[in-house]
Amino acid sequence: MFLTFLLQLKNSIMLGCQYSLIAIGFTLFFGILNVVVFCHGDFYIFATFAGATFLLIFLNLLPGIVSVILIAVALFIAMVLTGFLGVVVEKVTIKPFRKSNPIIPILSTLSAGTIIEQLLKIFYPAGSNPQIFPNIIPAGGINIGEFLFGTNEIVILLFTIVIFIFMYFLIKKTKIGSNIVAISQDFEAASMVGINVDRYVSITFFIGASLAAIAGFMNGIYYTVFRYDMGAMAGIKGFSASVVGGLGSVFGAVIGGFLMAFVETFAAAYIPGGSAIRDVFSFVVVLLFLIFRPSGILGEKIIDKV
Amino acid sequence: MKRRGFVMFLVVFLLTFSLLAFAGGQKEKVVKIAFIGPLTGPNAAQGMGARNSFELAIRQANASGEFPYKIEMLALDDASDPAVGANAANKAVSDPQVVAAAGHWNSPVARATIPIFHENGVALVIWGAIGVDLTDKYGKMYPEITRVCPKLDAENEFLADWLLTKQGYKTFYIIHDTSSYGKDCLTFMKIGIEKRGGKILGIDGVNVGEKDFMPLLTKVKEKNPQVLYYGGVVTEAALLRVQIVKAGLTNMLYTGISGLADQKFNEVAGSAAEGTVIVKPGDPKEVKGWPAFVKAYKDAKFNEPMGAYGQYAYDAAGVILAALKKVGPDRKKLVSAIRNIKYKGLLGTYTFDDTGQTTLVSMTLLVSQDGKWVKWEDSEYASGKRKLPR
Repeated sequence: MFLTFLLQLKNSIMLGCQYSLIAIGFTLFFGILNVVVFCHGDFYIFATFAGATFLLIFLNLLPGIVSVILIAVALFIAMVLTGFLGVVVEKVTIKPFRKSNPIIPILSTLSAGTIIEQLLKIFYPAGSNPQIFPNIIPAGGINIGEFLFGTNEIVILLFTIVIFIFMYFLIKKTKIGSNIVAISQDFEAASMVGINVDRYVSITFFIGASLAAIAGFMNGIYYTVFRYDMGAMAGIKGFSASVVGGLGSVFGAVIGGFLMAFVETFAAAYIPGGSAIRDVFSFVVVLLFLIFRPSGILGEKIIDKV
Repeated sequence: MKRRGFVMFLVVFLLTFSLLAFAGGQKEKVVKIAFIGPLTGPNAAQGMGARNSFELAIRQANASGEFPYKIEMLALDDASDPAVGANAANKAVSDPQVVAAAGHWNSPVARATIPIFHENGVALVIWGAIGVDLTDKYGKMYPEITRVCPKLDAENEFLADWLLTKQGYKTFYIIHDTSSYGKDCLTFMKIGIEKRGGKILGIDGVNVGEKDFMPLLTKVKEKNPQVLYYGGVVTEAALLRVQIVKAGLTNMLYTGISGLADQKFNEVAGSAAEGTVIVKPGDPKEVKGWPAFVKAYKDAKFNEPMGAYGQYAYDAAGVILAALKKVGPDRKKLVSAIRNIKYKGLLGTYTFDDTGQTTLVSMTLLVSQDGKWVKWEDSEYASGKRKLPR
């Protein structure tokens, strides 16, 4: 029983890593521009496609190279491509509507997401079929008694922790971070004190989208099977996680991501018939937060601002 | 040499034909038969293989010279979506040149289009949707509806019999998707297992589009069943299979029915697919015409493999063509001609009972061996060289 509990805890942490990384993007975008970017989930699945494609190319062209380097390069390319996709999407679907009704960016980003999804389906070879992510990480792992910790799980966990630490330093200790925080606190004041706001918006979108790319790459490593239409749900989960954590708070997004994953996993594991309605449980949690604590777990700042 | 001759013949024939069509302009009479299936979307692999097989039958009919008019296929996409399917059906029935239709791999789509075909009096031969009610309920009410492939309950019954009676497996866990297909799988597999004294240790539903099965499989591991049955289709089946290995459930048999019967499953699940046992309708290799069909399909140079239901789409076309030959291009006459037909097709002789269900039932058991579906009797598992988990 206890072993099963530990395994379920591990399952929820694995899921939580992905949700958190997606949620950070949502929270960064909302923090800086007060918009919800509904195509964020499609950045994520785009990255899974990009990562798989480049891995396949590398594996075919350079069969001898150490796989760690290949993975790193493929991940890097996926991050850069997805990052630029994020920047372009912001320029096309959000920037023109900065002064419009806030409902417009919701619709425009939703449209952008559908476009990305459909283009993947139409132009990727056999795009409507389920795709395979190359199995690059060696099987096996660490066995502690009957507790299995797979190599890919260890890689995902360690890498996510590294990213969290990196994000902490980026936001708290660097000029880029403080400028982003400044813009998110007061957009106009920031531009008045000489911060190039447009540039930092682009930087934020690059960072946010490349975090989704990392999550998408992990998705590929962890599940090995993916399809063009799997981005939307991941996006909704990530968005919910960022709301639960408190929109605008990066650390809230991390906590929200793990909370959502925890609720989903344990609903599927311990409630009879739970796996069919796991999403119901996680979204009930979202609703409870919206009703009783709309600012989220760490979302005090938004209330101050309003 | 023989093959080259055939290709040359085909080329000359098609060339003459297209010239004739060009010269004749609109004077030449055209009769259309609609084909509806998932040509895009999650089940496109199944739909394209069936479409190609259907087209092959039409080409062969035109080449035979037995018809005094040109027969054309009107291929329409239902995208596995009932709404899209209904649109396609409406398009088919509103085209006056369309005399009959073959359709669908997904039962929910068939449920949406059946009333349309009924109201317009156009015969629909179902080639790939296996929901029990399509004939048991609708086929009984509407003479327009017939089906050339076996029903879902027959597949589950066959599989349960093999697992329990022939192989002696005793404990089961059932996972099914929450679509009507998955729920039907659950219903009939449960009956099949319980009837033979098997024990079901747990039942769980999963949503189509779900990808994280680790929590569920961790729970399954605790129960330690001999067999995990999945009632669903390829994408989730492959995801599940990969995660079964990851969860360390290596001494458990993984099985399902024809929803998994696609080469895509082996490709996507990779090495994890090994040892998966499934049942698929039809036993083509017992049939005389099979090698010729495979060769003709290969010669036609389609881009996609024929898939699990290509054979049924081919025979659906055959049924319609045979009826067409008998009564001519008349929608109303075709409806009763198809229902009352006795047609010797690729897989055997087709007749339809009073619900429009074919009386021809045969099943093949397949096992995944080295990344391919291999007929059970020909596999190294049956010869004892490899062993199924238990």
